[in-house]
Amino acid sequence: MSTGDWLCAYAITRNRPAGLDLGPAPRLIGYRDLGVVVADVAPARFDRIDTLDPVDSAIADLAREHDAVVRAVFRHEPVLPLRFGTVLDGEDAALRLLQAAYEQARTCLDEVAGHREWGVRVRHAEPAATSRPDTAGLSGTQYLVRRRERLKAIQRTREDVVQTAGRLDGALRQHAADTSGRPRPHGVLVNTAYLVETGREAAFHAEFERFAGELRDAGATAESTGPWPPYSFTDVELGAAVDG
Amino acid sequence: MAGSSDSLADVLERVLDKGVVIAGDIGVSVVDVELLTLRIRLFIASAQTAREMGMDWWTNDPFFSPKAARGELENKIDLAARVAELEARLPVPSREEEPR
Repeated sequence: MSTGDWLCAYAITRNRPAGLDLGPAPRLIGYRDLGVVVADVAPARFDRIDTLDPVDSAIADLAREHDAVVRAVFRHEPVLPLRFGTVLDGEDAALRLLQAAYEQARTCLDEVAGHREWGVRVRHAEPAATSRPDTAGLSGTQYLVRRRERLKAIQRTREDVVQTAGRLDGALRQHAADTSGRPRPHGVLVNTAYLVETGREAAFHAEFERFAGELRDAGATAESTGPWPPYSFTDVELGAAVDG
Repeated sequence: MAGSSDSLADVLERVLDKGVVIAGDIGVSVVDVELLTLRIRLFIASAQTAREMGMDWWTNDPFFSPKAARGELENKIDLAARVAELEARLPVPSREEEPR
């Protein structure tokens, strides 16, 4: 029953095609005051995507495309990025998607309108606790004293950094409408996305810079990314209206 | 904002974060919408699954990138940390006992 007209869907936004500058390929399919941004796609591009290495260029290209389209919409309108690789079977399917997700998407769009996402990451690579002091010329006692001092210093630094990172997060939350914790690989103390109203971005960044300096002094690094479309704040459950 | 640069890793982290849409995922939940009946094997990788699959390339930490050895490595690090902690608690012998 496939139409054979496969569409890659990127994002839900408001149904205002005139305000969008999407470039040649993507287009807006509207339903009431919402629209979904789609582009024709050859599904073969997603073939075996589960077996590809994530850094493989095929996935990287697709992900960049996805991001580029979402950002193009985001420049002009609030946007709900859809999950990567959402492929629809023709325009009717796109309309049904909008119908099914309508209420939730509308609420969600209102929430993210006027906001942008910023990512903040704090890393702390501490010196290996296992490294030994230079033992040349040291008595056993001296060795132990040095070793203990070193370990204590490492621990103090760690506590400092963790505490400062906590204060950074607390301060940034004051300026954010919402926050979302992201995966933290080893050595990453903070990896959080903040949804910030554009009017509060200056205050948000000033706060970040203040703590970034403090963290640098303590031997950690703080980095920020963004502005992002609200990737971390728009988890539209496409089937919710039906299941609920 | 200083240090703002969205590298490919950052883009991938965000775009792939929610995983990839499964055909059946939507097809099942939205009534009689067969969004995708194609046999393309798209799969869901939740962030968790992605990590299990070693998709946490954004760690930028070459020390941890060899995913096969990761579990073992973490055990070793835990042990090392524990040894260090115990050593820190060791009583330092008093001065009189110091060997000459």
